[in-house]
Amino acid sequence: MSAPHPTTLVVIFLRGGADGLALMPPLHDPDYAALRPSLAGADTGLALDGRFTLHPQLGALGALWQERRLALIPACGSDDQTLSHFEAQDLMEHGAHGVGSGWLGRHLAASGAHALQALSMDENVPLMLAAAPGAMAFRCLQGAASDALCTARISALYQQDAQLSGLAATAVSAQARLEQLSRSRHAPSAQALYPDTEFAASLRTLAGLLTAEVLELRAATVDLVGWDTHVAQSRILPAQAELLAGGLAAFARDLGPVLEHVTVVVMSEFGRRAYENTTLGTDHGRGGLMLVLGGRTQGGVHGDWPGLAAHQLIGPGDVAVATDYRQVLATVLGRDTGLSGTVFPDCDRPALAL
Amino acid sequence: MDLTRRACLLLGGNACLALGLSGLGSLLFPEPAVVPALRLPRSTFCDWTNHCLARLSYGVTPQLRAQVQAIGIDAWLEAQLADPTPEPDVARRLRGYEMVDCEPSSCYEYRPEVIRAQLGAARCVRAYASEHQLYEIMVEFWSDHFAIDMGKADCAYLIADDERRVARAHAFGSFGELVRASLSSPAMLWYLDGRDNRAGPGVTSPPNENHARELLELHTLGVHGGYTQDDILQVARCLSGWTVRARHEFHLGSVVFEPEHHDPAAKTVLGTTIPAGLGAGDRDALCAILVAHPATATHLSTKLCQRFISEQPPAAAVSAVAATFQSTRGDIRACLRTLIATPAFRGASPGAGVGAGTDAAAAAGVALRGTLFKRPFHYLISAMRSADATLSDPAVLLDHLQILGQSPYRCATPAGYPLAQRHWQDGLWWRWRVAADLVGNRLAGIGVDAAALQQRCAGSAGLASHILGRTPAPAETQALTGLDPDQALSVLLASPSFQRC
Repeated sequence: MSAPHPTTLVVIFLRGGADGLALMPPLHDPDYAALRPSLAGADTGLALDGRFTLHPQLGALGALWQERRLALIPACGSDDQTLSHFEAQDLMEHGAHGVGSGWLGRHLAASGAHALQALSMDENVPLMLAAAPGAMAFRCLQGAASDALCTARISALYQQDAQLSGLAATAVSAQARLEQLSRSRHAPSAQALYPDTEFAASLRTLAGLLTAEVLELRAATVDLVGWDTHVAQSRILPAQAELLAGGLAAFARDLGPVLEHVTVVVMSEFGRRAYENTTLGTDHGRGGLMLVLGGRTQGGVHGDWPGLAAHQLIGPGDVAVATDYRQVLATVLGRDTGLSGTVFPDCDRPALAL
Repeated sequence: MDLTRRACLLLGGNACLALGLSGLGSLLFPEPAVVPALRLPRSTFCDWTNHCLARLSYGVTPQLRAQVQAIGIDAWLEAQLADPTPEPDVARRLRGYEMVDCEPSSCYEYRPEVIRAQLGAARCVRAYASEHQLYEIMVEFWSDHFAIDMGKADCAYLIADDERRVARAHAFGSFGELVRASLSSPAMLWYLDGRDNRAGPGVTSPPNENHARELLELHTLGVHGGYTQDDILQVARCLSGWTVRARHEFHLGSVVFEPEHHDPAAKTVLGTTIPAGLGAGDRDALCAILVAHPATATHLSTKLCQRFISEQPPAAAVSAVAATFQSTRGDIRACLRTLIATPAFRGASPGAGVGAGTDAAAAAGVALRGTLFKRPFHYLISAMRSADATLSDPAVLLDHLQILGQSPYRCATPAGYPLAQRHWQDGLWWRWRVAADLVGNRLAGIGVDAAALQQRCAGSAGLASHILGRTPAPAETQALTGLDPDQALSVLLASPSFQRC
C-alpha cells in the first residue's frame, strides 16, 4: 500500500470581520430578532439543524452541506480584545502571542515542507505564512524572463544578499515551473461555473495548480476583503456571501476527485456586534464563523453555541467565543497531517470532530 | 514665470528640474549637442549627500545630481523642507487630468474609473516630475495615514477634494490641523461612516463607532495608546451629527453639522470632560485632547521614523521626534528636521560613535544607509527617475502598481499601505521584469535611452555609481561585465541595492 496522499490546506481569510451571525443566523432564537430588528428579517436560507440556517446567498454551498463535506463552527474566535482589525488579524495569523512566525509557516517548517510548497494567491505572502520555507506570492510570479543573461546576473547579485537571497532564488525557480504550467493551460471542468470575480479567478488558478500538481503544494492562501459592514449591511453582506459561496462551490466542483486531498478553511479576524447600530450595520465584535470543507471533512455544525441572551453576550454586546480558532486549525492540521503539537503552543483545547 | 515656461518648452520635461537655484541664464540657451558629464559618487559607501537624496526623494535624476552639485546638499534640504511653490512643468503635465482640481459636486458627473485613472496618473506624475520631492513623499505618507479606499460608496467623487484639503494642505504643517481637516473631509465621513453617525433624542441604538475607533487607533493615539471601548463610544458621541450632503440634496458633497443628530450631553474622553452643549464645538475640543495626548506624539513619531529610518527605529530617534512633536504641538516640519538630525537617520549603526555629525564620523557607521526597502510606488518612480526616463503617459505604471499591491487610492484597509518590508518583498520577480521592460522601452508612455545615460556616466562603472549612489562593489562590477547598456541598466535597477534606499 502506498503512502497516503498529502493534503493541501487552503486558507481563505475574510478580511474586515465577517458577520458570522448573519452568515449562519440562529433564526429561531427570539433574541436574534430583538437584537437585529431591521437586519434579521428576510433570511430564508437552507435550514442546517434545529438552530441555524445558512445565509440565502451562501446557497451555492448547499450541495457541499448535503454531501457532508462542509463543517460550520459558530461563535469561533480569538482572545483579542482590542477589536482592532489589524491587531486581531495579527494575532490570528501568528496563532500565538509574542511570536514572529505565522501558524501556517510554523506548521510547514515542522512538517519538512520545502520551498514552493506554499503559495499566496494575492500580491504578498500573508503573516500566517511567515517562516514557511520559500512561500511565494503568485501574482508577482507570472511572465517569462525577457533576458536569460540578465536574470543570471541578477540572481548572482541576490545570492550575496543575506536578507533577500532565499526569496530571489525561490522566485526564479517558482517562475520557471509556473511557466511550464502556463503552457498546459488549465481548463476548468464543465460543472465548475466560476463567477466573474477576482476571488473566483484566484481559486480557478489554484485549482489548476492543484490538478496539475506542478508545485506539490501543501498550503495556499487567498484573501477576500470587504467584510467590514458598519453601514447598510443588508446591501453589502449578501453580495459578499455570494462572492464567497460562488467561488468556493465552483472550486470544489472543479477539483473533482482532487478535493479528496484538499481542505479549505474559511476564517475572519472577528465576528460582529450582536446588535445592529443606528446605520443598519454592525460594529466590530468577538465570536464569528469558521468554515471547513473538503474531502476529509465530516459535515455538520460543531462547537458550543453560547446564545444571545443579554447575560450570554460579552463586552459591549458581543457573541462570546465558545470555540478557539486554534482548536479548529489544530484539528485540521492533526487530522490531515498528523502534526499539530508545536504549532499552537498556548492552546491545549480538545480537537473537534470535523 | 514666462522665462521658466519658455525654458521648459525649450529644454523639455525634466531639464526644468535642473534649473532650481542654479544658473538659469546659462541653461536658457545651451549649446545644442553638449550634455554636461555627470559628477558621480566616488565613495564606496553611500555618502551623506547620496543618502539624503535617496531617502528624501523618489529617486535621483541626473538633473538632481547636477542641481545638488551646484547648490550643495544643505541648500537642497532646506528647499525640500520649504513650502512648495507652483511648478509650471508639473502643471503642464497635469493639464490632462482635470479631476485633480475638480470640485466634489462636479466630480459626481464623472465615472469612478475615469476619476481613478486620472488621480492615479497625477500621483505618479507629481512624484516623478516635482522638484518638491519630500513634500510629495509626505503627501503619500499622509494619504496612507488617513487612507481612504476610493472604491467605497461616494469616496471616488470626494477623494481629490480630500487630498487637496488634508494631505496636500498640511503635509508640512500642523498635525492638529491635519486631523481637523480629515475630520471634516467629506470623503473620510463617507469612508468611515461618520456621515451616518447619528445620536440625539429619539435614537436609542448606539451611534456608529467606526470613525471614532479608527480616529483613535490609526490616526492619533495608536492601537496601544491607552484608550478603552468606552472612549471609542464617547468619541463617537462627540462626532455625532456631522454628515455629508448626498445625491438629490443641495450642496452635494459638502459637510454639514445637524444639531438634531448630535448627542448634546457631556462626554469624558481619555479622562478629560467635554462639557454639555458645545454642539459642533465638540469636534475641536476632541481634536485638542487627542493631538495633545503623549501617545499621539509617540505613534506619529514612530511612523515617521519607520518611513525615513528603519522598520524598527531606535527608541532614541523616536523619542527625539516625539519630544519635538510635543514641544511644537505637532509641527510636522519641525519633526522632520529633528528626524533628519538623528544619528539613526544618518545611518549610524547602534554602538558606532557618531560625533559632531561629520561625514567622516558617519562613515564609521554607515551600515544602515541603503537598508530601507522601497515600496512598489517608490521603486517604480525611482527606477524611472534614476534611468532619466521620459514620461508621457503613466497609465502603465498603474497596472504594475495593481499587480504589486499598491494601487493609489485603493488601499483596502483604513490603516493605509503598510511600511514594513514583508508586505512588499514578494514582488521581486515582478520588479525585475518591470526593470527590463522599462529599459527595453516596452512600457507604453515611458522612454529610456540607456546608451545615452551610460555615455553621460562615462561607462558602465559610472552608470552603476549613478544608480547606486556609490561606486559599485566588486560583485556588482562583475555582474555588469560584458553587458550592453540596456542590460547593464536593467540589472542595476533590478539589483538588491536598488530595492532599498
